Amino acid sequence: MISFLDVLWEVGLRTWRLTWRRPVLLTFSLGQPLIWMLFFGFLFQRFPIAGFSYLDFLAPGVSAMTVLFGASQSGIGWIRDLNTGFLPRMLNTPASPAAILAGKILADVARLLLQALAVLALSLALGARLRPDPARLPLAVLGLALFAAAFCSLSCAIALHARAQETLATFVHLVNMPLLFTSTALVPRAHMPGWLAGLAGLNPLSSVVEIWRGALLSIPVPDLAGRVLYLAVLPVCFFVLALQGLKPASRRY
Amino acid sequence: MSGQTPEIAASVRGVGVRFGERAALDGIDLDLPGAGVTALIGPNGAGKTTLLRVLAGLLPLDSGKVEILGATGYIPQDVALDPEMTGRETLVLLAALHGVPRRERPGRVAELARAFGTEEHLPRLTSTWSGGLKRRLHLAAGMIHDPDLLLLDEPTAGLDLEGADFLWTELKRRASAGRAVAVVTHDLRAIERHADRVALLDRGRLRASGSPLEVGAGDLAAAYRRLTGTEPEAPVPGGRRGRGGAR
Repeated sequence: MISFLDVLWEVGLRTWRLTWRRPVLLTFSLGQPLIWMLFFGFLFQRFPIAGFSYLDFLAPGVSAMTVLFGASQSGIGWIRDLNTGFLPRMLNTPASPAAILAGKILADVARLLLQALAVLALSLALGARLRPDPARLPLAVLGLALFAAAFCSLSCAIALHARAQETLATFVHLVNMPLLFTSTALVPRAHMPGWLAGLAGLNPLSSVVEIWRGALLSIPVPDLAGRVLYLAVLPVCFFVLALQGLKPASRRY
Repeated sequence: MSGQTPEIAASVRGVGVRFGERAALDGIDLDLPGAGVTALIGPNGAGKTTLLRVLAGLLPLDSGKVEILGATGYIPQDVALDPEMTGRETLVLLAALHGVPRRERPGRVAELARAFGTEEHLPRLTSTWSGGLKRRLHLAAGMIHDPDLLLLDEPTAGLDLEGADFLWTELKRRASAGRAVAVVTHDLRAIERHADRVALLDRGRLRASGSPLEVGAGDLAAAYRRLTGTEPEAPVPGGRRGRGGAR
C-alpha cells in the first residue's frame, strides 16, 4: 500500500532540492521583478492611483506577475526528466501519477509564494507602503497559491505534450505577455479603454492581482467570491490536462 | 513481495505484438519459473526487448494473454537517472515510489549499494559518477522494491567485468531467494554459467526453451547458429550496444 502523502512529500522534497541546487535561477527570478518595479515604479511615480503611489499599486501586481512567470517555467524540469528517462522511471512505479504531479506542483507553489513575498520585501525597500488587512491575507495567499498551481499545471501539461524546451519557451512568451498587458497588474481597470477593461475582467491574472492587492492595501475587491471560485476551478482543469500528458510519458520508459 | 514462491512467475500464451505490418512477437508461449534466472537470447530484432516490455506491462498485446504473479521490476537498457540527484536520493525516492516502508529504506539502500559496490559514491550527484557506476546505480534502483519478477534488458552492456560480476552475483542471490529473473543478454558464456533457463527467439517466434544444457547440448553458440542461421553477437563489456529492433 503506497501512501499518497508519502509520495507527495518525497517528490516535493526532490523538487525543492533541485531548486536550491540552481541558486542562479532563483536570483534571476528576483532580478526581473526588481527591474519592473524600478522602471515602471519610477516612470509613473507622478501618477498616484486612488490615494496610493504608483509603486504601492504596482508592488502586488509585480508580485503576482512573478508568480505567473515562475509558474509558467515549472514544466522545464520535466522536459529534462523526460530526456534523462527519470520521469518515465518515476511513472513506472506503483505510485499514483496524480501524487507525483501534485508533489512537484505543490513544491513549486511553495517556492513561488516565497518569491512573491521576496518581491514584496523588495518593493518595501524601494519605498512602497503596504497597508495589509490581516483578516484578508489568508484568502489572498490561497488565491495566489491556486493561481500558481493552475499555471504550474498548465506549464507541465504543455511540457509533457511538447517535450522540447524551445516549444515551452515559445508558449511561455505567447501566454505571459498578453496575460500581463491585458490584466490589472500594471494599470487599474478604470484607466483602460472599455474593450480592454472587459478583457481584463476575464483574465485570471487580474483576478489574483485584485485579491492580492485588496488584501495588501486594504481596499475593497468587487465580486470576491466569484474570483476565488474562478481561481479554484482553473488548477483543477489544468491539473487534469497535465495528468493526461503523463500517460504517454510513462510509456517512454 | 509475496510470502511463498509460486511455481510460475509469468505465463505467456499465444502472445502476438505487431508494429505496423511487422510481427514483433508471433504466437509466443512461455512460462517463467517462480524462482531462477531465465535468459532471453536471439539476434537483434528477434523480439526479446518486446517480450520483456510485454511482461513489464508496457506494451499492449495484439493477441494472446500474459499472467504475472506478484510485483514486477523492469530495468531498460538505457540508464534513467537524474544527474542532479545524489545516488542516495535516487534510491530513497524510488523506494518511496515503490511503496517500500520508510523505516526499511535506509537498510534497503545500504544493501543494494553494497551489492553493486557503490556505497562510497552515494552522497555524490550522479552527474559526477562514471558511466559504469551510473549503470550499476541504474540496476540497483530497479531492484529497490525487491520485485517477485525482475526484467532486465541487456544489463551487462556498458558494465566493466567487476560490475558484471556484481550483477550476476546479485541475480543468482535473488534466484536462490525464490525470486524470478528474466534477462535479455548476448553473453552466451555468462548464460551457460549463471542462467537456469534459456528462451531463444528469432523473428518474433520462440525457437527453443529449456535449461542451457537442453537447448545447447553443451554448446549454446552452436545451437544458436543452427536455430537462427546467424552468428551470436559477442558481449561488449565496458561499451554500449545499439538498441535491438523492437521498442
